Amino acid sequence: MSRGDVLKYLVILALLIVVPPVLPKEYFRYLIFLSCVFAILALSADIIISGAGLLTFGHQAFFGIGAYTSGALNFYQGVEPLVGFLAAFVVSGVSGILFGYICLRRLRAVYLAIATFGLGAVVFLIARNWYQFTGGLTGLRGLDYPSLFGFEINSELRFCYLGLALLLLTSYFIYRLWHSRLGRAIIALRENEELARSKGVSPIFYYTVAFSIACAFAGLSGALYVHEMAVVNPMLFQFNYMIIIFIAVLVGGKGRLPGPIIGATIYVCLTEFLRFAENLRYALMGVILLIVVTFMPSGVYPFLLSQAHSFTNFIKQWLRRKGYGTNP
Amino acid sequence: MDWATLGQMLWCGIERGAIYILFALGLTLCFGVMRIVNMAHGELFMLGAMGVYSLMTYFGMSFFPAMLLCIALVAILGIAFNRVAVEPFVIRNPLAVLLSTIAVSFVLVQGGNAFWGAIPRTLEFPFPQVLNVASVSVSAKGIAAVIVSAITVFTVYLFLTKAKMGKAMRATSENAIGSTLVGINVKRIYVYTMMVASAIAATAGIFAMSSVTASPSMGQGLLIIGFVVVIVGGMGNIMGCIVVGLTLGIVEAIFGQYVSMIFRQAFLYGIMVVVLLVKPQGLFGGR
Amino acid sequence: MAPILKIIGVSKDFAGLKALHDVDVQIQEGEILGVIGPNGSGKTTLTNVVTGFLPPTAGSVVYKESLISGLPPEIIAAKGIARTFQITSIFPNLTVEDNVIAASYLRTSGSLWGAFLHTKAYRREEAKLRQQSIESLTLLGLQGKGSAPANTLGLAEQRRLEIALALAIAPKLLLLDEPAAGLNVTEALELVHLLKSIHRKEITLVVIEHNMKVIMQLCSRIVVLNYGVKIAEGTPEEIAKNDEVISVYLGGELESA
Repeated sequence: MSRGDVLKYLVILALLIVVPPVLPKEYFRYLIFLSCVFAILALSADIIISGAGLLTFGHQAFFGIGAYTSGALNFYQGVEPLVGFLAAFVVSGVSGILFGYICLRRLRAVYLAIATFGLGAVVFLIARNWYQFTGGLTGLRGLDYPSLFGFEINSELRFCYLGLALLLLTSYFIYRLWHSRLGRAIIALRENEELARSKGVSPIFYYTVAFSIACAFAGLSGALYVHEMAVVNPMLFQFNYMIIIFIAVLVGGKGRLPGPIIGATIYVCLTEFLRFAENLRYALMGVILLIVVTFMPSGVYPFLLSQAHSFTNFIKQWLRRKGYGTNP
Repeated sequence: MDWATLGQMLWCGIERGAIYILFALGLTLCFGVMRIVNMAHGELFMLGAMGVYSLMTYFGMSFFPAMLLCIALVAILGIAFNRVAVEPFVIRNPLAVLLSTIAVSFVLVQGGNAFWGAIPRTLEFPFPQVLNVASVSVSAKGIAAVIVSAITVFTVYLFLTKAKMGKAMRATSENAIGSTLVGINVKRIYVYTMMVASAIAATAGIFAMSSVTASPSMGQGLLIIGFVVVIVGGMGNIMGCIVVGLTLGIVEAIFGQYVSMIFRQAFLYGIMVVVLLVKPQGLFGGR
Repeated sequence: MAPILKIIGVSKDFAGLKALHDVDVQIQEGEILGVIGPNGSGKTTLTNVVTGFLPPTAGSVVYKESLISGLPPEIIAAKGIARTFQITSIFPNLTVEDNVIAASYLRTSGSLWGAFLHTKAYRREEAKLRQQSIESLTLLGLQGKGSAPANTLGLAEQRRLEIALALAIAPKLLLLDEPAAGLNVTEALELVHLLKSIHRKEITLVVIEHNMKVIMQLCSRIVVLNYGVKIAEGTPEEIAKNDEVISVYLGGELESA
């Protein structure tokens, strides 16, 4: 990492620490927290979509599984939420192995999309109807707030920091993943499955691993989400959350780390700014999704990058024409 | 053995199956000819139902004119839908169509909720009689639904085998590039396919109201069942559609009665998942 | 020299089409074997069967005394058998250097923990990977192209990259499927030199080719297939004089040898 990079990251870190407390409204802190939750969720889905190059239309199931793992453990057994987060991570990851192995053995592309869609729908149905465990439509209420060594996370500000911390952790993990042997095997499969096999990479093994890692982080985001709300209910398994993921990944830009984070933030901000439209809110969001898919197919982040690139080039050329060299 | 209940369930199953067949027919046509998965198909179905309801309630039309007008309107909407959500992507990236159709579906459902409200509506069919056949209660509108379904399927079959346009559609589904080479205007075929699929979906929606209530989100659950039928029957396979649609309707009704009402739908999805794992091309499929 | 690979009575049917019929070939360790035959004679099918991309309908493939027929490609690759593909196969969107690193999967043992915690062992292995990658690219004349996306390379360079990828698994046996296709005379000559230098590293080569000049200059032994059946086997001189082989090629290509 160059000195410029370190400086860049330090500035971002400083902003992340300093900005939340100085925001005028508690509500803005909530928005940041929500953005973190959906950013982690979107990043996790992007592991499958951009990393492994596979389609999943059921990722929301793991958001819900993680939420319920932590929520139910806390509700029925009084388990400390942070431990619940870990459990959510593990349980979602393991169910991802199961789910993934079933689907990924033989299915690709459209069929995989439909299978994951169907499986996601089944999970929702089971959750909604298994009211003895999930609490039916009302869900489980009165969940505890997370606490760390006696320090309770009970304010929006603290949740903000918790969310940001987990987001940073997730981002770092994903970044390192793609520079590891495991990650490279997954990328090789995405680029050329046949060639990767001839180099010793087993598709079913690595696709399943990628899937389960993604599901684990989805579960983490679910657990984080519900302990702030102190409620967990089966509505978390709805396809709406998959749409949020798609919006975040497509609008933000898939493949690179900042993309889904930006996308999630845009989504959260949009739901707020579109509040005036009341019931048409989601309809408008669908329209926006359609527009983005049509005109900015790679997403906002790559678009911004390319604009920044052309802008810097433009400045450089202007300077050169004026007689200033770019290398002093 | 309670034959009366079993008979009632069988009839229920046939009623539902008739609608499933119609709904899945449109889906499988879209996939067969255009190779796309139309995630908004349920909404076209919904618009058929809500459309007729609106025409009859707010414009005072009677059933048959409303039905015909609505089907025509939805067919035209299908053309617009094709232009906006399908055409730009179908060549470049068929999978992008999945996402654009999801977007449209979203817009339609939420728009529908905003416009009509989420309250379920019932439709006044012009034939409210209920018959009693061998201690099974059979409603006239149910019979109408089954008859309409059968007629539609037969018409589509005739169209695809005898009509020039129908044969062109089949050619396109076999080989789109080859079809272009022999002079078939594939783009226009896509438009007509979408039109036909939308019209069938609207019909299914209208007659579905013989047994269920209508609401803007009625298409969502049905979409998944549509997938089950299409996948188990084989994507693009009309025969599979018919056989599986009917069977699934009956099986679902029987399962619901004798095993568990709550997990009835989960049972259907389970069948789909099993088929996907064992024979992804579907029971009748060959691709 | 002991046989490194034994193809024993291998047949492959595709719903009525007999792509291979009762083929027996023994590949001696350290040799360069050529496989020739008209289009559709089963050469690529044979490669696919040996490398695990297709299971044989009958017969078996034995590599160094262990049975490998029916195993999946990734397992066979792990045993030390590498291949190139008839249609040049690389990782298109990765850089040339990343291509080689990705292909080095079998030669590394990195753990996720190491990557996550950025341990010294991890850093050492990363450095080693980069080093090996540069060496490999230099061997194949691709030094300096490391950071170019692989899909911007020209055909001949992509071919060489493909060979670099095959070598990245440290194979003992390398099967090349028409490596000289589409290359001009100079490029083909460079390929021959390249393959000879690879051979010097004690790797057994099997070369499927149509280009007779390349075959004749490289191979110590040749096997001829026609319609899925082995019709001849022997030294280049023997094959050139073989009546059946000549008639199969209608006297065309062999004369250019």
